[in-house]
Amino acid sequence: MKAITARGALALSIAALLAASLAGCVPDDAGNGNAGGNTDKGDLQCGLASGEAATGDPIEVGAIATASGGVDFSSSPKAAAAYFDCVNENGGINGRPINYSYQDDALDPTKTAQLAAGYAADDNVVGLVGDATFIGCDVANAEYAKGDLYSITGVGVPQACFSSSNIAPVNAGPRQSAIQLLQWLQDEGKADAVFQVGLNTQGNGDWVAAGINEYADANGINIVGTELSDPTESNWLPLIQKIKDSGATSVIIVDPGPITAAILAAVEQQDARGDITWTCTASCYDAQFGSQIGAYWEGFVANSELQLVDEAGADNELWKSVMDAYADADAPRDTFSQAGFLAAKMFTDALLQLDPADISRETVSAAMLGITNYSSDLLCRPWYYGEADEHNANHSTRTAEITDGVFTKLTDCIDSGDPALDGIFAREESEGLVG
Amino acid sequence: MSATVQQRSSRVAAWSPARILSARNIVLLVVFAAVLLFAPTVLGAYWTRIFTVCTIFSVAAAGIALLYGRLGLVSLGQVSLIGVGGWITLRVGHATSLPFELVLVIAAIGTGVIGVLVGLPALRLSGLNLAIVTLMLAGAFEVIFNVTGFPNGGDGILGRTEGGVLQQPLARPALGTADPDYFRYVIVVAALMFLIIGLHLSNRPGRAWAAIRQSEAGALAAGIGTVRYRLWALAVVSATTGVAGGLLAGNAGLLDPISFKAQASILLFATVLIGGAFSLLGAAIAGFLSQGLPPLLDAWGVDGNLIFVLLGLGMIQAITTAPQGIAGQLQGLARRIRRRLTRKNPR
Amino acid sequence: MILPFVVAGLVLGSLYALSGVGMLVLFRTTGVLNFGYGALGAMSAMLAWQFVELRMQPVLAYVLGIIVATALSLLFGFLAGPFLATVTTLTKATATLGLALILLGVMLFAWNDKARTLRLTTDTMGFTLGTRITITQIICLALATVIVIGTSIYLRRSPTGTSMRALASDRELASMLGIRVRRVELLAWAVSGALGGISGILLSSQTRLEPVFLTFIVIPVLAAVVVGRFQSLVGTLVGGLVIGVVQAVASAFPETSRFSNATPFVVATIVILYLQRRKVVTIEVAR
Repeated sequence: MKAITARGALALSIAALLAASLAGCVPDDAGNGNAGGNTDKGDLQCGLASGEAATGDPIEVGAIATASGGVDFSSSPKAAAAYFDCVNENGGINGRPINYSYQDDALDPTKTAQLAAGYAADDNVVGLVGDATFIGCDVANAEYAKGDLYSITGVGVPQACFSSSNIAPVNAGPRQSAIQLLQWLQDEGKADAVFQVGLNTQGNGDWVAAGINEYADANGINIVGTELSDPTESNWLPLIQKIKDSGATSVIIVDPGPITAAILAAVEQQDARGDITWTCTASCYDAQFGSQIGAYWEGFVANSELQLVDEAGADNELWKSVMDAYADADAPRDTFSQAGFLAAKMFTDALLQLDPADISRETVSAAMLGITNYSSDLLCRPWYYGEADEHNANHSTRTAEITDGVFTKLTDCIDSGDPALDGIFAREESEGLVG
Repeated sequence: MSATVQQRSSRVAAWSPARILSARNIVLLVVFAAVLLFAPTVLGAYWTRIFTVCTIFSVAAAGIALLYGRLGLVSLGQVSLIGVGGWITLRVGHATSLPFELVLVIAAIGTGVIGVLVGLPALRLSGLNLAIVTLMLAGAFEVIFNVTGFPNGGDGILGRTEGGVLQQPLARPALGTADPDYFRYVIVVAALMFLIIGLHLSNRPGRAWAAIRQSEAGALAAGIGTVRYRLWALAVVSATTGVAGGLLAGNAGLLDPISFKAQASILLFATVLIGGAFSLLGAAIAGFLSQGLPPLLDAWGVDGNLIFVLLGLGMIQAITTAPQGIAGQLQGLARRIRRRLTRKNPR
Repeated sequence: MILPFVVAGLVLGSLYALSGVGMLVLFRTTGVLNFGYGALGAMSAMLAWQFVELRMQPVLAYVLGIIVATALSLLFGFLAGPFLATVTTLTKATATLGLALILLGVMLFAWNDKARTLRLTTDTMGFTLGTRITITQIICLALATVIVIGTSIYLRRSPTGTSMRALASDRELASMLGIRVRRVELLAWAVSGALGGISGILLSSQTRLEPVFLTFIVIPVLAAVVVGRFQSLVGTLVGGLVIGVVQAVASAFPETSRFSNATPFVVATIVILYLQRRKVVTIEVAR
């Protein structure tokens, strides 16, 4: 009895040793695609840019993001955290550091509601920045409204994130992103027969599909198929078969990056790319995406809700360099990271106008609501908050395609043709929100 | 506790005033009143919400405990029944303007019927076979919930809104619109459910169930209709679990299929084993372990994922050395203290 | 065109069967239905992925993952075996739920439940035979078939296999006959762990590489074991293949597509109920 255990253990350890010693390594090709910054850590212009660490009474700031449960959108709060770290090392909010953390709702709206209630009830939390929840903006907004708490959300996904009083996303949202892909396909003359793919999560896939259909109806575009799948789906064959059978000339995928990558891998396995133009919303716009999906997908098109990562511009450069200096090397360099960064930057700029001794939820909320006409090279048009029941300030996006494994520019800003934005446009006009 | 139940020989004894006004019941009543009055203030907004959900799950845990502790049946699909109760509550709640309490009753009846219908073919099963069948049913329910979704104020049988129409949460009961009030509401309803289960246990059904667990053949010989009593157990457990689902639906007004996966049932079963399957206290502990411990770990800065490691270790420990669970150990402790206090004048 | 679905179904089904055989070998020898089996496979796949990420040679990484799964299974068998031998089948199975939870917790702690992909180099190599078939798919199918047939022959012919079968019918009697019971049981734990490790890696490449998903894939795998009536290896193989193909073909038609994932559960429930149709009363004294 003992003999066999001892022998087994010996064999195992020898095997492990052998494996370890034989572990010939594969060459390292990791990197940030074309999203590396050029500014040294000491020269970063964050907040006051004083170069001195803030030591005062910390200011509590939170966020809710969906980081697990099949979908990971934590790149937005990660970028916000990186920027706040940089601000704290550069004088903070007039001497007071920001104590920032985010919580994961695990794709469960019950948990979103709990976390939101917790933030709303905690008077120390002055505001929320860089949230990225894939579900539950509606339940969260109900709690925020009760506690007069406001959020500059990095990434809003479902419809409720864009039609809430206390939530204003920096990104444009899947609906705008998808419609603008359709507009691009139309401009390129590739919109003869369009197939759309998305998720069946409530208020997301159906809302985007409705938007695409409305735009298509108004512009005489033929939508040949719609497929909304479960976030935990792993069998993509039926989808590929449907796309083949539909005779589509182009496909719009409105799924998170990893799910899109899984679909594309299945398409590659079946060698079913054909002459179809495959496109994806901004959820795929990640500097790493090209190397993830491989050489088969040269020419794959994605929308980007903020600036393309390889373009010049002060804020874009600051984002890249802050990420290099303060975030993990494997934190995504994608649209949503830019959104979280920009949310944190706008929040910081707003707070710097306040008296540091008088920073409370009340004053911070007023400062956040007061953001109007905020220009950045990351955005196409200025961003604003303002008191309203819907917030969708970002509605112009860019398009890129994969060449040599990285995203390169196809078009600059396209303005959205979504008929549902009329209310937003009217408010911009009447309240003078964009200058 | 199981021992005392079996010793009770008649219904009359169970209802004598001395029994009802026993020290234990008075203490329970005082604790209950204190929780109702002060808990929301003491806990604060966040923890009140957490404990609301804990209480809801402890009702479902009581059902699992009844099946396992009394009938020796392992059901790994109880969270699916919470989902069924939630679905019925949302559907009926949106379709009619009935008061929430009535909707809860409908949910209880509906879930009871579905539980019995689903359980009917499985009635003859026991042991591992039943555990596997219930797990398979939980898997099937997961797929069904994914397809149907949960009603959110739309039209049609499924009651789903779609395509750019915002979802509509179900209104909370008039007595519990604010979080603290809803917490109290849930506590009262849960106490009612515990009372229903407790009364069953201390009366004829409880004794019949215990006999069936001891030996099915023996129970048959003693003239106990095993099928009838098993069905009744299934109905009671399903109905109370359905009420738990209704309370969960009322909490946020919306539900999501992600909360009702097969794995959630396995986790809840694990917490029941750890909490103790032989008493209602164990069920309450199980509710806390499943819904309250993860946020507590988070609040302490411990990775919430370690909950699985804790539950796994706890489960193995419960199976090997502490079959009565935490509740059993607590009760043992209480007994020892009482014995020490009353040692001077032994009965 | 139904062919691609049949191929995908056969591949998935063969993986169900491969996993199922690992569970079955253990169950037949020790009476333990291991609910932690999926977690062992998940651990192996996650480790393999991690080692590949750390730039290790892929093949070595896979082997290392499988070795760890084997070792973990052996360790649990070594620690819990003596206790498990004394309790009912149901309690044995329940105890392994604990193993599943512990492993799952460790994995979630180390890796989080993100969507990852384990790309095998053979994924993109393939040929067209009516439909496109990749080398990975061929490997899955071939490996499952070879292992199932190999294990069958081994159990039937070799002395150890005979001892395993002896243990399955009566543990006490087997020990009286001079079979080194513990040794045979530990061997079963090791073999089962290794099979779990292999199927975990293959499953993760064909489905999703997520700890939770892979841990609870044990539920559909169990369906294949049920079809094998908890004893027949060939029955398990057939069960796995049938479930896989029915599931994939059901997904090809819009009417059934959304319910296709329920196939394993429906099949298993029907089989259990059918097998139990005459057994009205179980005569077993509660322990």
